[in-house]
Amino acid sequence: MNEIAPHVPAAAAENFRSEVKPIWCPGCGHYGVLAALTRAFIALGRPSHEIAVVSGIGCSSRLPAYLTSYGFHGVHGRALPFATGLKVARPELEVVAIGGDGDGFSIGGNHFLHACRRNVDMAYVVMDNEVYGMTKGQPSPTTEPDWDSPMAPGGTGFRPFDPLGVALAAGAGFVARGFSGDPNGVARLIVEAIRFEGFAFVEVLSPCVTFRPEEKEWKHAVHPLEAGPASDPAAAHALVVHHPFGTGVFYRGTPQPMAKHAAPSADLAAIERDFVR
Amino acid sequence: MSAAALAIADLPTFLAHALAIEEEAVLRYRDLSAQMAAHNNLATAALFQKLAAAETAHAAEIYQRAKGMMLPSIAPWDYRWRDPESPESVPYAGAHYRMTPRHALLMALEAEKRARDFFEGVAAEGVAAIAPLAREFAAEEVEHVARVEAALARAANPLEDWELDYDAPVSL
Repeated sequence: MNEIAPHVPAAAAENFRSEVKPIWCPGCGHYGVLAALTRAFIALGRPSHEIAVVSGIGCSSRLPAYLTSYGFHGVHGRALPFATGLKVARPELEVVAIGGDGDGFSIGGNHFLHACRRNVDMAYVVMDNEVYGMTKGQPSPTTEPDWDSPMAPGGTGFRPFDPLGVALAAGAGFVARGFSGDPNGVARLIVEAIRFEGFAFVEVLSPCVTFRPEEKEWKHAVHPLEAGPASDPAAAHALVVHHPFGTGVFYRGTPQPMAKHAAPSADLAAIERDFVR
Repeated sequence: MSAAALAIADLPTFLAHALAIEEEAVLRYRDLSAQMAAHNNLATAALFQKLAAAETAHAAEIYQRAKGMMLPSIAPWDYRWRDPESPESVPYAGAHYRMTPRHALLMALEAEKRARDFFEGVAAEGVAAIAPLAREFAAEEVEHVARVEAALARAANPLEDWELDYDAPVSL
């Protein structure tokens, strides 16, 4: 039980919001993710100076500027390498990498695979709107093959990238999906992801109302998973396949974060033994 | 009223919900005002600011009632809302950069009705410690509904092509 003022979530949320006002399109799903992040940070009870939010490039990657936590708005597709380095150097920080589907799965796709494999203790939140919004609506890796647009008349014909399936195959320890129209549900997933010891991936379906207005209908398609989370990647993948609009935690493995290095040795002989075998 | 709402069984929990409703509405209206201002829709931005001010006053009233009381800490997902968010948080998804003050008032009307329904639902549960206050809050929300309806009666109807933007974002 707390005194009134500090506990009121909305009032506390304001402390995590910077003076910079978002310039996303009104109606954009990313506003819900921003609300979810601040609510998650409050629920975690961590002050803003103990949190670092790292992003790449894209509409969603603007997000760190809107928070009072530490932030890094970096290079296209490189949120995860930067976040990995930050977490290794400053393990006491809560590191959250964020971005969009183009940034994370195309330009940064290789980093996504290896972040899952390395299992460094951090959360990765991808706002998936199945389009490159900032550059005016080109198909992204998660765009369906028959989406007709001026850049890809008749659709690309390409099979879309499967973010959750790939995360599972690459070894992520925690895999979840949320919907931006449910900020409280997303906040819960983010809290669970941050608390998970290892690499935790959260895909958030976040409609682009400007270039994909039909995505407004996602609110009717999403539904909470009845089962899960699975503790076996194959079972989790079956959930992913059968519930393309399911929300919740699909997979929670045994926490196995990247092992910390032993303390550095000043013993020259020991160092030589590492190099001369 | 959802089954989960049955668990609002004591005054501190009830007031925590009431405060969250108003505080979250304040933040949401401020957010929407900033969104409209960023898109140079100043009339609608001003209206959202007025709505935020009204909700700030409502929050202050509830705060006074709760003063000195110990309220429970409730995780965002544990509030007993029947929608994904608190009743007076108008959905972000309902906004449009060319929306008019009338559209904003329509969103506010739905929000006030949801709040009224929430408090009426809690009152209907008949928990002695909170039902009278829940009825009082529901009556206040009925007043708010009437005020918004009165404002709507004065608000101009949007043009038929209100969404039309001669310099609209185009897909490349």
